[in-house]
Amino acid sequence: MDTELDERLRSRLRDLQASVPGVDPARAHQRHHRRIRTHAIIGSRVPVGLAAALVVVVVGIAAIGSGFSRDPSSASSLQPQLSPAASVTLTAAVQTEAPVVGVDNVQAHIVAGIGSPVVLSATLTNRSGRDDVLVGGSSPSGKVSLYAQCACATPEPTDPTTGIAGVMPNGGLGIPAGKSVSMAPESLLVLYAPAKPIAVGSKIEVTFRFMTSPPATVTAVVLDGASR
Amino acid sequence: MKRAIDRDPVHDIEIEAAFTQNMSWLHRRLALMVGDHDLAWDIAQETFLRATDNWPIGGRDDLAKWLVTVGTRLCIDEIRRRKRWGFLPLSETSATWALERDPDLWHAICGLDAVTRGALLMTVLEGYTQEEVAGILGVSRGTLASRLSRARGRLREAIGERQYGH
Repeated sequence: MDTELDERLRSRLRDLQASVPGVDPARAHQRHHRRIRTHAIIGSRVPVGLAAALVVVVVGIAAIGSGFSRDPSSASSLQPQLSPAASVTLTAAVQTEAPVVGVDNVQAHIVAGIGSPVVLSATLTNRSGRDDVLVGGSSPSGKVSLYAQCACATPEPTDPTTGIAGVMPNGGLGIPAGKSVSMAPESLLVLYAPAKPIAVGSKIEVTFRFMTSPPATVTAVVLDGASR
Repeated sequence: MKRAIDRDPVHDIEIEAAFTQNMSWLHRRLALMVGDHDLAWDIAQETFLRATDNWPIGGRDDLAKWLVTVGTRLCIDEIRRRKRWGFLPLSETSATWALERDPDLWHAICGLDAVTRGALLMTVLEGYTQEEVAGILGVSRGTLASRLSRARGRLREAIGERQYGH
């Protein structure tokens, strides 16, 4: 019943999607490159509006707190002066660190598949104040993608990219703000198509990539799949 | 963070190609989330900037999934932000392209909250499972299932009353 509805919905949504007015490709590229250049200068992690608002608020509070007092040592000075404490607060506000997701308890195991892929799991701790999503990874040792254990079909399907049985590509793993999420056993990063064969006992470097937080790079010792 | 200015020149070429290949459909896809196609364009650009920071991103399918996932999250954040602050509200009537094409479906979609709308589009258009969408959007599987069930009920009424076309 839902499948039939989904089919009709899909058809009409695609039709609706096709009716969205397009953007002139040349203008689009121009706009995109302008934005890339701005991004290169200021970076995307700095919430500019928020930082500017913080500066305004802190300066305002500091000005009220210290008062636009006249310096008694200088009769002609009517300049507003920030108190040292307010200056420290201002510096701290501007230098606030970007949200960070911690990656701990990393486990890496070689499993049966195409070219001996390595599956990785870890505990992810979101130390930021907003929800984040693990969206994938990368490694100098090979390609990395996020997968989920498939608990639906019997016999278990084999993923055509990695050759691992019982997994399917996963779009992302949610990590609520202030919480720890253990990837195992449902989600795993799979390192596949290795640049050179990966042996048990060797070390691999893997970068975990998130939607908003900066990527986190970890080094893990590869264990035999039998010890999973 | 690897800033755009420090990137590998090979990555620049790859990103340029990916932009040309994916920007058009991503823009249209995100317009279904926010209605306003100019805003959808801005969010699609923001999605690509995030992709630039996280480059390289797997193969072609991985990139498409990544773009939809991140783009949908950004749309949800934007809808919530505009609702919270109360300025520049997103009006369903601003999407004239949708009202001209399929007004019943569009009104029904606009009646869904941002998360349900994102989840519905991801399951119906991209074929994500409910488990995957629940993980991506950070809601429990049960909550998502009941929201999607209610949403399907509303959409069934909307698209049942009017046949496709004009």
